[in-house]
Amino acid sequence: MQTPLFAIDNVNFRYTDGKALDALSLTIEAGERVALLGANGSGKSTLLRVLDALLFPESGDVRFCGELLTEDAFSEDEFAYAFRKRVGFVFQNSDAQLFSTTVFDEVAFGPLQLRLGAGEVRRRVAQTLERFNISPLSDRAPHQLSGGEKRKVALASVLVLDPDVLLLDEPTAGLDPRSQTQLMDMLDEWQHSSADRCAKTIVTATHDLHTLEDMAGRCLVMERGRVIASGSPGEILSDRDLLERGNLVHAHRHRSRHTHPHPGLHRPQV
Amino acid sequence: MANFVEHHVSHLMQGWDLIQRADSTGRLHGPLQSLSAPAKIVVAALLIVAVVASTHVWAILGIFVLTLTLALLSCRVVFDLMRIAWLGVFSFTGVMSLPALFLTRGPELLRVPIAGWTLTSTGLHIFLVLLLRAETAVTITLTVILTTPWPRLLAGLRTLKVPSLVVALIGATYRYVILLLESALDMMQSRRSRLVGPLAPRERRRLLISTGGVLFSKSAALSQEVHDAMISRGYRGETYVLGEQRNAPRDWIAMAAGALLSLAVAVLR
Ligand SMILES: Nc1ncnc2c1ncn2[C@@H]1O[C@H](COP(=O)(O)OP(=O)(O)OP(=O)(O)O)[C@@H](O)[C@H]1O
Ligand SMILES: [Mg+2]
Repeated sequence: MQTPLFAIDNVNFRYTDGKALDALSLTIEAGERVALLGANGSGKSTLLRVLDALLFPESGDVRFCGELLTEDAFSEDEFAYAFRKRVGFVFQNSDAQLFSTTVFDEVAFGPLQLRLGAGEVRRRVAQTLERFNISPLSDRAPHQLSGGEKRKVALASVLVLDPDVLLLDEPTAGLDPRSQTQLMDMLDEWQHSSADRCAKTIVTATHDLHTLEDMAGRCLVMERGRVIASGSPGEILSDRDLLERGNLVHAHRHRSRHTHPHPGLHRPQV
Repeated sequence: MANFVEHHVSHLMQGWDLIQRADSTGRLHGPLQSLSAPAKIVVAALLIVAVVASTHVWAILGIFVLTLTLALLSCRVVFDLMRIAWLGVFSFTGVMSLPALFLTRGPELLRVPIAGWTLTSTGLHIFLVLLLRAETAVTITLTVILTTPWPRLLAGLRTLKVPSLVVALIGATYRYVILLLESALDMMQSRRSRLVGPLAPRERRRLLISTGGVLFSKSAALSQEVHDAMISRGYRGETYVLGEQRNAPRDWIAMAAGALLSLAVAVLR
């Protein structure tokens, strides 16, 4: 059997009180598109941070391509650069992700940190801005952009490195349908650009059931730091009880007193 | 105290406004915008040194008027922004150097009746010089900031061999201030929209304290997140910046003119 891309074994993590990840085990294969579903606070963002080695678990193992992700491993430049080059993370909060003074600098940040030459950086950034139709924003300050534009720039600033693995934290939350489509187009464009389409892996934390089938081949439903169910989008979407339990749909009580759920029409209250 | 919250808000608004405008006025087309950032920084630094070294009221005033004229030619709105700064400097430096007016010995100009203090012409001269120096230095600095897009300014500092850590720090401060202001304004606005009628002073105090606390922890969490986002894209504590702008002939001319002017001001007695 092939070594899985990510292998998480019995991982526990807590911030201050209460477990954010509770004896969590799962594997993700290269080329998979995985969606993480679950109510607010169920541990999706925490799991993504563990996968991106921004947080290290208090117990349990996290492996990437068979190699343990530990703080020690990341103290070595070579290992850290190789990992950061291969794994990209688009944060839930674009404001935190966009820290440079112009869009151009923002997109250039990653390539510069990975010490590509100045010419190569300029070329790549220009090409990326062009590819995702955000060249006109090049000189703007990120804080002056609209929510949708911010999200696009955040995505571009990660895709400029052409990672193999993309971790997305609620990429479509708060976007209007058109921006959502544009974002999905960007992801498609990135995936198809690679010679071997299967090489690209995407892990998405989401509440958005509309885009689920586009975004994922496998869904994991989380609750209180554990995976409580997994299956194809079709299987998950047809399991009403599960969706209600994961706060992914509301049950609506109508005047006629019968209750019926609307999958995907509402985001859980934030 | 009663109006402290509102006062606070209006200061935040002014700061926010300044940052927003600095970004856009720097992109206008004017005589100063057409100069490179390093050239402007060099000229500004030379002029400030000359002004601080000079004791010649007319010379300093000349620099002040010249700077202001160039700034106004480059963009009109600077006047409003500078007024805020001038007032601030006036109240600070003015108060600080007030004693000089009376404590300096020299030819007597005026006697304050009851206190028995005497105003001397030497004292007046020193007072004017101190005040003018401060106002002029601030005007020069603001002119550079308002006519240069922020990233250019940072890159300009790098070109002038300011250590990358210092530039990264200035950049980070700017970012942090923006995040802080944004969350402050958001909070104020959402709070205002929920407030009905005026608050009792005690309520206001409570509100101010809780706002400050929340703001602090919010921006702390946010800077942690910013840090994570940087790490995730390969940041290891060292910042790399793209090399910057070359000087055109007019930049060299500006620098030469600035150097001559500074020298003239500095030697004028
Ligand atoms: N920085 C933090 N400090 C303390 N506790 C935290 C922190 N971040 C998250 N938590 C807690 O950890 C748990 C899991 O949070 P996490 O952010 O992973 O959830 P999530 O599934 O991403 O939720 P959402 O859908 O709201 O984004 C929650 O109970 C949350 O309160
Ligand atoms: Mg989350």
